[in-house]
Amino acid sequence: MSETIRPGGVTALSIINFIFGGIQAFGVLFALMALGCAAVFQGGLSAQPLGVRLFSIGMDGLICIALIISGVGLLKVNRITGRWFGTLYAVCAIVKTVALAFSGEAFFASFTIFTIISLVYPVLVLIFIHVVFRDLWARTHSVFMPKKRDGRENKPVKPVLLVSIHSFRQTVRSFIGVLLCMAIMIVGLFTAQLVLLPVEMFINQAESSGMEISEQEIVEEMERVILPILSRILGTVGDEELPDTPEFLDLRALNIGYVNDSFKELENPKAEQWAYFLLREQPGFLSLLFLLFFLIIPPVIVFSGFNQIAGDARNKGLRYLLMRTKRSTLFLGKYLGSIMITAVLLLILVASVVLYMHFKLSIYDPGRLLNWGLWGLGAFIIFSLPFISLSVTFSALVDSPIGALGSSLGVMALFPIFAFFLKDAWEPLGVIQYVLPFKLGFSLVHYQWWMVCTAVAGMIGYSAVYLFLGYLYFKKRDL
Amino acid sequence: MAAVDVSFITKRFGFVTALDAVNLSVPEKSVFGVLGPNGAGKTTLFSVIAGFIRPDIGKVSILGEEKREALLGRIGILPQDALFQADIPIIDQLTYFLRLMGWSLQDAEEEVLRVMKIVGLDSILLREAETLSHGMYKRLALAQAFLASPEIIILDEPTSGLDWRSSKVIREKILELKGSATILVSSHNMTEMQQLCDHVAVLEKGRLVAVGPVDEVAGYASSVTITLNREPDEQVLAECRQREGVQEMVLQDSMTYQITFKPGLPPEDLDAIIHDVQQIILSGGVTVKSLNEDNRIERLYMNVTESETGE
Repeated sequence: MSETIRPGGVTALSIINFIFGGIQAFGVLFALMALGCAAVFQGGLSAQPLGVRLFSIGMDGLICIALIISGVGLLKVNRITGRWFGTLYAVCAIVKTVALAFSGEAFFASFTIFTIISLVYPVLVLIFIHVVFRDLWARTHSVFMPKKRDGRENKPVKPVLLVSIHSFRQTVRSFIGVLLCMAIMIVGLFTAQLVLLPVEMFINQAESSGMEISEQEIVEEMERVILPILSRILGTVGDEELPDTPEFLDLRALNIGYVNDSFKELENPKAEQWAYFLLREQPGFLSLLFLLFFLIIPPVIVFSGFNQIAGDARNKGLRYLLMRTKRSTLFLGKYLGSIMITAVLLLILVASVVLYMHFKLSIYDPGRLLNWGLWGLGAFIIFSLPFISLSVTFSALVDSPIGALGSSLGVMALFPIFAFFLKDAWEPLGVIQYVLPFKLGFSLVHYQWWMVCTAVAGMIGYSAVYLFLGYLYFKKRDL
Repeated sequence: MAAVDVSFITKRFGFVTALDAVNLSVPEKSVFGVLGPNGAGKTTLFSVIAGFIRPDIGKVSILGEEKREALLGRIGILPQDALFQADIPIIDQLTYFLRLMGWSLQDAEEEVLRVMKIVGLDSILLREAETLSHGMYKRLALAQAFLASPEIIILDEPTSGLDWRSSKVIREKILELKGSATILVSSHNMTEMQQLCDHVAVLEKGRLVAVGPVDEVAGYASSVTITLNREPDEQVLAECRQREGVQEMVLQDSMTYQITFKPGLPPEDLDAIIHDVQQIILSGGVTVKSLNEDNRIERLYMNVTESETGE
């Protein structure tokens, strides 16, 4: 039997290192070829000074070597090659990006795989190898030596908190934990780039046509255009306020039941104010991103909870715990552990898009961005609670982790679709849309406090109901 | 007082009756063996006692308590096929188990070190369980069951799949605990059960077919096997055969004889007969190299399971 101690998360990191190292190697090769061509054509291919290009290629080469050596080191759990070459890669990547930014290069010119390798992934690597897996490198000898512990460190901890911390740690160190952190960051940045793409296009167009218009004016103009559309999406604008809607866009002309109903809901005088609040009083494009995230988050966070109970039930590991703690403690602890994981994922998501937004659109005041980002983070955590409950509940109902994941995703996808069609067939059946709190989530970024409070209470209520149903089954099931 | 009282437990899985009105009492501080062929319901019985599964009918009382909350930390179990968590070092998992019971971190670490020394695994605490061999994994699971010195220890086939040396280590550890905790153990190894248990229960297709102290249920030794350093004289053999209580003495193998006793003799008489036979052999200038009782538990097991299956 191998004595190598390698958590799944370390394996995931090393695999990603190899993939990114390979991509980076191709990047360096192409850059060298481009440099050669530039020499042949006497510098006609790039406007970059030669010094900057050589520095960039040199750093890329170093990054590529460090990535591959650290990949091997991580596989072997070697302190020098795994940890320190990983650190070398991260530092080189960040230094290169910052140095290029100071030399006048666009800091976030466009979001590509190289953005991930040079800015996103280094941060994750540093966090994982120096925080999450820090204990691995301390194992220079194989014998455990108990330490004298005093004060807070040695105080007994409440079992529910212990279970939650343990399951959080277990997930973060697993293969899927590392992939989730990467995935959420990439999804966030990709969505952010998608949302900002029209702005970028307008700016480029204005520059190429020689128009003298500032970035702020472009953004404000776009926000003005988006305002009525956003109002309509939010279901907030009345008939007379959109006189210039082209006929082909006027869905009411189709006279479909649920569309007309939706427009009735729009006849809310306070609603336009909500759209105005999101677009004009807060950083508008960040608000748009947040609204998109309300749709993206539920299926993503299911991944943090689906394995919490099903995995341990399947391998019977729960049996070791059941002799020592109550089922209610285990269930609640696993739920809190999932909340912790989700909070970290959401923090990564919001932090990356706020930073991206800050570097991309300098018109937003950093303070405003930070405030609205923090608000969004809080809103997403609250919004996640019922969906985490749902996934932990399915994890308690279904023995197989894949079954639990499929059931949670299936319910999330199928209920809104059923509600949509059944409501049209027979209106009272539309009530099933309230089985899931999708709609309520948007009110967490409402401009009125009482709406926000209602949404928070609703989310906690939904969460409690799902959790209670799951616990009712879990406390009696055979494990 | 009985440490474990199982009253008319019935458990069905679909159409299969895993336990059928099982009723037994496990005396305090005893080593209670549960025997039965594969699928007899041994693991289900242990799972019901441990509270992992709920019986359809009947109740279980442990240390006078029926509520599970009152028993947390008082039962240790080595479950069959249960896995430790991947990606978490062994020391962290075992201290976690203890801290769930309210232990401080330092006390938990010291206790983990104590039990891991018992099973000879104190040098692998920083490793992850999945890097261990099968034998080490089983010993780790056993150490986990010994954590915090529980009053009741349930061991579901503790030596299955282990080599002779690892099995011996585990048997010795269980014997060391004899008298300090109530131990429930299941195994297919009859020699092991004979060595460990003072009480037995035999399950067959979910029904309890025999239960009680080994001496009562399995009876006393009906024969011994004796190995000598050389062939004794005919006169010595004749003297042995004439000893009261000896039914027959036959050569089994080179210098190995099986002495069968007359049925129904009390254990004191059996001890006296064995003592006298040894004296007769020694007086003939022959040395006794080994003396082994027949496996009473195996005999019981064969008797009850054969009669149940009608073989």
